[in-house]
Amino acid sequence: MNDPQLATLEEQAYRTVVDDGLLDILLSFLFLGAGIAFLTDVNIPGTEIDAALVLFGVLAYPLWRVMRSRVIEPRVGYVRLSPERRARIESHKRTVVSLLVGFAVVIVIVSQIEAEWTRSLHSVRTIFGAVMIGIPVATAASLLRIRRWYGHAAILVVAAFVEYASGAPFGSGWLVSGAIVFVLGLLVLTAFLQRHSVTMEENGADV
Amino acid sequence: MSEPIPSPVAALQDIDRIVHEPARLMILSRLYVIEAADFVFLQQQTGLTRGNLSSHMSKLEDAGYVVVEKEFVDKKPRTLLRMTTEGRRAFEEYVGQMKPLMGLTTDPD
Repeated sequence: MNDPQLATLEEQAYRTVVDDGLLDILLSFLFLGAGIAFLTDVNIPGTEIDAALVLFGVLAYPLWRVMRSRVIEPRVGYVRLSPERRARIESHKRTVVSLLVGFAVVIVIVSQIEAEWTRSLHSVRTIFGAVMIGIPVATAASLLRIRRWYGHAAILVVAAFVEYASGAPFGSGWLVSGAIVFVLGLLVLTAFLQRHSVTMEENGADV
Repeated sequence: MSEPIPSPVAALQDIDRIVHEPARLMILSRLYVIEAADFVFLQQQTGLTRGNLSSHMSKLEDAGYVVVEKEFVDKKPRTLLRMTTEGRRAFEEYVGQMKPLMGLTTDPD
């Protein structure tokens, strides 16, 4: 698409799909899930982060679909982006998922190794985990061009540092960052719906 | 008698009036950059009222530039509007005709 004005229109259509705040809310579920797993010491296949990642991986897409069809599409409508754009999104999704899986594997391996350096790493495990998840989140921000996601990655890492420095219970930083991202996601969603919604009257539906 | 000199302005005589109408141009440019969309999405993107959009969609459908497709998602019907190949060609041709004309309005310096 060479015409800059058409490219702008395409970008607007793309933003109605990825920039509605739902992905932020889903991301907050990952942070909250990890925080709850840490605090309650859930340990499904190896580490708490993996438990949260597995849950997130299984639930994220169905949740996103349900939220899109129940919350967004009745108000903003449904769009099927161009095949080129969808292929790019798929490729970005694969990159981010590969990073998440890769880091999860690293975390599992590191947690299994009995050595001095892994013991010292374990003492800063909340920060280590936050960095491991923060990198894919920042990568997603770059690939999807949603700049506030850099902020989400930063919130997670800073909250983990604060948790470590203050001696707060393991996982509390994750819970706090999850709560902050959740609220931000809700604010983005509200603003998005206010900006884009077609009123019921305009839509021809009963008022 | 000499033949008229071809100019970008002369090309206006051949302009596709189905595409040229502002509301339809808005609809086509939105549909051109995506694969398909439902009625609500187009309404939201163009700012047209339901009646207005419906009337223009009928004209575009009659011209063969847009097709209306129905599909079922979770047993619920969904009506999608999609630009045809002919519609894409007409839109590209229109843009090609208008660009030189727009060039006339810019300062050559």
